[in-house]
Amino acid sequence: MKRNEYIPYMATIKEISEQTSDIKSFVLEFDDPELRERWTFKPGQFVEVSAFGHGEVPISIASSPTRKGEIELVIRNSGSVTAAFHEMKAGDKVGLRGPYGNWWPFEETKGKKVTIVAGGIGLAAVTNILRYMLDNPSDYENVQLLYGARDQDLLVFTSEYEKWRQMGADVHITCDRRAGDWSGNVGMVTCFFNDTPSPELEKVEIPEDATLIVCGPPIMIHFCCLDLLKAGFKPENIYVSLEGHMKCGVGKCGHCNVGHKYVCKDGPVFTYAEKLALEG
Amino acid sequence: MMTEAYVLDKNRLGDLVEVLKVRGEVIAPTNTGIDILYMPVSSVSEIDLSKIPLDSPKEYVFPITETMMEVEGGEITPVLESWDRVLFGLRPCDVAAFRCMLRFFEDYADEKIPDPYFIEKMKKLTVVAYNCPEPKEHCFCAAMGTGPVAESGFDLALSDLGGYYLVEVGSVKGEEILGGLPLPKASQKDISEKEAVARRCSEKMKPGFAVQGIEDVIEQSIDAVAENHGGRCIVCGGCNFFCPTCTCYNVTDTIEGELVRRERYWDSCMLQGFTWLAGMGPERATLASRMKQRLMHKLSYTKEHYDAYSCTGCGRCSQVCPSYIFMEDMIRDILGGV
Repeated sequence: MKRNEYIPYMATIKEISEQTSDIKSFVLEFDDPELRERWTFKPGQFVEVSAFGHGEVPISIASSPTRKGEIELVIRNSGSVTAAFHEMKAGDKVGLRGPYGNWWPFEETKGKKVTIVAGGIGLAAVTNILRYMLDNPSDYENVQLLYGARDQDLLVFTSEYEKWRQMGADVHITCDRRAGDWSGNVGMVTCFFNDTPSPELEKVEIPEDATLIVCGPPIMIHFCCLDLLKAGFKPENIYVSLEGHMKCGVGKCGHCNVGHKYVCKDGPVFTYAEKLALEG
Repeated sequence: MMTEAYVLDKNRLGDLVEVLKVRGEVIAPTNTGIDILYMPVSSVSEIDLSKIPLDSPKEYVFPITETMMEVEGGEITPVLESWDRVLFGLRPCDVAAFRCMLRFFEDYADEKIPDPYFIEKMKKLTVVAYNCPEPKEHCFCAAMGTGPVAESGFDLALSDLGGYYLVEVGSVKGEEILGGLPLPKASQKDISEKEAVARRCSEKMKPGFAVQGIEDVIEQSIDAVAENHGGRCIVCGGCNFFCPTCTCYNVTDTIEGELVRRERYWDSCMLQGFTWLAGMGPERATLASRMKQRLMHKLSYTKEHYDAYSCTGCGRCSQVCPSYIFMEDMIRDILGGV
C-alpha cells in the first residue's frame, strides 16, 4: 500500500515576514532531516499546509527548487485557516504535504524568452519560476517581469525587485493609483503593453516570440489575456494559474472540479486555450 | 459463461445469514418503521427485501463522517478504521455504485494516488447482491446498464424465483462461504427463470430511453436542461447525500482539549459553499450552474475519466427531492435535445 497521501509531515516555521497589512510570508522547514534532503518540487506546484485545529489550505510555493530546503509560502489573511497562520510565530509547528499539481513551463521555455505578468499577491505564485530562471541564467534568453498592484502598500516582494534586476531580469512595476510617496509607474499592469494611453506609465516591449506566464486575480487574468491576444500572442503560448476551493489536493474531494478537469491535479497551470475550453 | 449456481429454500435464508455472520457484521435492508434502510442485523427476521432501501449503502465504506488523523503534542497519528462487514441484499444498482466508487478512489489517473480510507473498507467487505424482481417508481437501472441483475462485483447473488432463491457465486470468497452451507446445484431451468424475471422487471421499468452515448450529445442541451430543472432546486443537498456514487467530501479540524481531530464528511456540489473561495465567493453561484456540474459529472466526466456513468439509475435522488426534480426526466430531456 502506498503512503497515506492525506497525512501531512510535521514542519516548523523558521521565519515570518510581513509583506503587506494582510499578507505574510512564511519560510518553512520539514522536521525530518532526511525528508528535507529528499523533498523537491517544480516551479508552480503547490502544497497543502495545515494549521492544526483550524484546517488545511492549498498554497503555491513561492520559493524556487534551486534553493534546497527552502519552502516559502505567501499567505493572505482571507479565511479562518489563513487567519490562524497570521497569528503564528517562528518556531510554531505546521503540517505540510505535497507537492501537488502541475507546473509552469520551465523546461519547454529553455533557451527562449519568458515574460511574466503578475497582479497583487499573484506574484507569489510566479516567483518560483522567476527565481528558478534567474538561478539558471544560461538556460533562458530573456526574463521579463511586469508586475502591478492596486497601490504601493499592496505590492509584495518589494525588497527583491532590485536584486532581480541585478540578476538580469527586465523588471517593471506599476500601481493602479498613486498613493503615499509612490513615484513609479501609475496604471494597470496591462497598460504596459496594451494601447490604452497612460501618460504616467512607460510602455514595455514584450518580445513577440516570448512565452507568457500570467498570474493574478481572475479579473486581471481575464483582461490581461484579452490584451495579449490583441497584441498577437497565441492562446497556446499564454500560461495562467487557476484557483479553486480545494481540500485534498489530489483529485478526490471534488471541490475544484471544473469541466472535465480538476484544478488540483490537472492544473493549476493551464494554457489560456485550455482555460477557455474549460469554461465552455 | 455460466457461474456456479445453487438453489436455496426460502425458509433456509436464515442459514445463509448465519454463515455470513462469521465473515463480519451483517448489514441488510431493514424496515425501521419509517422506511427500509441498510442497517446492521443480527438475524434473518430483521431483513426486509421487499423494496430497494431508501438510503444508499455507501456509508458503510465511505462514512458520513470519518476521522482521518489526530494530532496531539506535536505528533500526527493517522487514523484508518475498517471493519469486516457483509452487505446483504445489495441491489444491482448499488453493486454498480460500489464498482464506480472503487474505480474513482483507486485513482484512474496515471500517477495513482489511492484513497486508503475507502480501499481498506472495500477490501474487508463481503457483498451478497439481491437481483431485483420488481422496479420502484423512479427506478431506471435498465436504461443505465446497471440492473436489474448484477453481472459482477459480488461474492454471492440471490434471485427470488418464487418459492426459492437462486444463489450465484461471483468470487472465490463466495465459493468459500457456500462451503459452510452445502446447497443443491441449480438447473438450466432456474437460470432461464432468473432471466425471465429480469426481463419482466426491465419491461415494467419503461424508462423510455437508453443512456449510451449521452456524453456525445449532452453539451447541446445541458444549459437549457440545467436551467429548466435546476431552477426549482431548494439547495437541500439531498440528491447528493442519497446518491450511491457521490463521493465529494469536505474536511474540518475539531479541537478537544489538547487533541486535534481531522475529519472528512460528505459534501454536496449543489450547495453554494461548495466552490466558495476565501475572499472571493462561490465559483458556481447559480442553481443552474450547480445542476449543470452535477449532471455533467454523472453523465459525462466520469464516463471520460474511467468509462462509467456515475448515475446508476437507482432513482433515490428523484425519490428524495422536495422539489420533484427527477433525474430520469432530466436525462430524457438531454437525450431529447430539449
